[in-house]
Amino acid sequence: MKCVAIETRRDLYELLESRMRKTYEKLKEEQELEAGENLLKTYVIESNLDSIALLQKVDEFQIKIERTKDETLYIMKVQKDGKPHSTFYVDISDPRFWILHTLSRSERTDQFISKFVFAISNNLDFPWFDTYFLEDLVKNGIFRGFTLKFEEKIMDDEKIPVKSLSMRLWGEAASRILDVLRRDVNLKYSTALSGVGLKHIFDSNGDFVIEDITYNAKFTARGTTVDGHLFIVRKVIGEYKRKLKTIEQNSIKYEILDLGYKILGEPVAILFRKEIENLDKFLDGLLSSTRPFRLWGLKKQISKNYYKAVCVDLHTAHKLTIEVTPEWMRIYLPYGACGNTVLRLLTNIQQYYDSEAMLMVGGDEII
Amino acid sequence: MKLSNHTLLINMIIGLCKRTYGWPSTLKDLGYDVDWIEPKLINSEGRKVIPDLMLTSNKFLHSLVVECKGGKTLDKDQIDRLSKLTVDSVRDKASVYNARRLSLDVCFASFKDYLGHILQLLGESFPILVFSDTELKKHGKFKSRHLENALSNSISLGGSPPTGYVPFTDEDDIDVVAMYVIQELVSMALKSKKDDELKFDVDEVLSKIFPFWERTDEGAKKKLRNKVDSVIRQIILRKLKHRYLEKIKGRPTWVAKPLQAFKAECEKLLKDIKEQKRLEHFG
Repeated sequence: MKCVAIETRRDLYELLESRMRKTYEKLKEEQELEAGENLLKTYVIESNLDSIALLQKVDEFQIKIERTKDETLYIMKVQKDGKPHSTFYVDISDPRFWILHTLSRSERTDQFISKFVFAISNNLDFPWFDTYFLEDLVKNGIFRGFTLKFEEKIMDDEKIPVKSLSMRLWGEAASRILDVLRRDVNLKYSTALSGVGLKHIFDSNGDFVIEDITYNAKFTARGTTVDGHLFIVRKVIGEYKRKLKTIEQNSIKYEILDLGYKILGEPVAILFRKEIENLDKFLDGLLSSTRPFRLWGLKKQISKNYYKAVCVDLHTAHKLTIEVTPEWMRIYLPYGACGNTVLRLLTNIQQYYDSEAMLMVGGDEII
Repeated sequence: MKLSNHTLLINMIIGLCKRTYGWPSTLKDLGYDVDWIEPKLINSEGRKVIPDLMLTSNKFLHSLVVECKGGKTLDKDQIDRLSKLTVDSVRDKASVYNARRLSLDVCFASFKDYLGHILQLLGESFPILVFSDTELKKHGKFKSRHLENALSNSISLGGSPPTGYVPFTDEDDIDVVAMYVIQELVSMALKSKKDDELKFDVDEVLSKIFPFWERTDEGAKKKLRNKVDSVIRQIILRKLKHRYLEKIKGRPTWVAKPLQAFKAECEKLLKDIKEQKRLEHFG
């Protein structure tokens, strides 16, 4: 790939626009891309770091951060074992949600981003798009298809009807097939979406963008307008931030005053459609410190069908308390802790236990 | 782990003022919010009273002062002070749109099993919120007709009371406090850099796990310090800090194994505490 010097957002825009058009034309004519011609991909990362300079080395990857003339735009060059691996253009204009554009190969960038974000307590996380959020995204455009990925990771039991399910359905019939799956008594708890595809037409001249969006905020774009791609990325992140804000507004906050103490906030709840038969085992899976939940915790039984656990989110080292019954889980998120923890938990419960689990805030509002 | 009855009652009543999934929101529905926990009030005789909770409904311009009693005993002096609370005691502390029209009820909250004992001491001088595993009933009469109406029939509770609003108080057993201490130590270790020295200062830990630490009275502070100190001493004695927590800090890569091993050791520690196998070590 020819190296283009990126000094400003305009330089980046031109690079991304030309690459997007070029790959689209190539795909239209030849149905495939040549080696080195990669689709534009954008990863969004939630950051709790004060500065991009605080990024740490991750395993075998070395990270070099280069400044541009724009103080909210950086170039992140990644090396693996001393050799060039991938390049990301990092937009930190929103200090909480970094937007990383790349034209490097998907296998490489996926591998790096996964290790980069999942390193323990590094203050980085993905945004976590739950199944209902992904379904709502499709309403913003023309539905093209979905990917479905489910793996039962908590209750490892012979009686489980579906241990894993993965499927990619593209085309007009996709949503009807999804409805059929969800009506099946054995499949209905195993239909978590891991990605959706949509097409958005921007004007009568026919400018459009085709986006594949994954549950952990990877956007792969084809089409005729990079503006369209950037619009969709920002719109989705805007929606996600509204959801996060609702959760964080409910976090538990204590105020200490001369007169006494105040308590604000209330727990949010995850409602299970698939009843938990063995709470002890469920919590062992949830609090095992391993992927996908990445929660450390100590559990205690309060009564026959009621447990409590004090937990630590291993991504952020934030604490949280949960109470669980076979039908629901209350989550007390302390003030200042990241609402992303709740959405990660929900998304992973959908992907690995009950795809119909839903989040409730304020006692009766499903978000 | 069992919360003390007192802490449980406080959580259950706060829960009634919030939208807590799986728990009724009877008081929230009447517009009540938790104005204050342990407010410092002055009664009509000019004496200080610190009840457990002051709840206020802006909708009905009514404050409800609640004293939680999780046992058989009652402090007669506290009962006397509470009986002399008037609306002027709370008027300046309530969040309402018209304090002139504010009215007040003072009540006790307890469990069904203790009602007989409490009535012997209180008589019918206060209304009482009576909790059982399955329902909430009132005993006596509230001045507020809205409260009277709402509580005229028993309220079904569903069996899963909230326990996380106030995590513990000085009245709770060491095993309850220990869980939060251990949780904080893990969080501290994860936040530490590789070269940082892991220091577990009792007061610092308490300031992070007990939300009201700053203004807690010295007697309660002493009780809590003893409990936290015992847990930290056990962590160090059992070499859990050295063997696990030191390995967790400042690690850029995944460290599931020491975390899992630490968890298993802590579960053992909690079990030992609970069974009082090593009674002499736990204060």
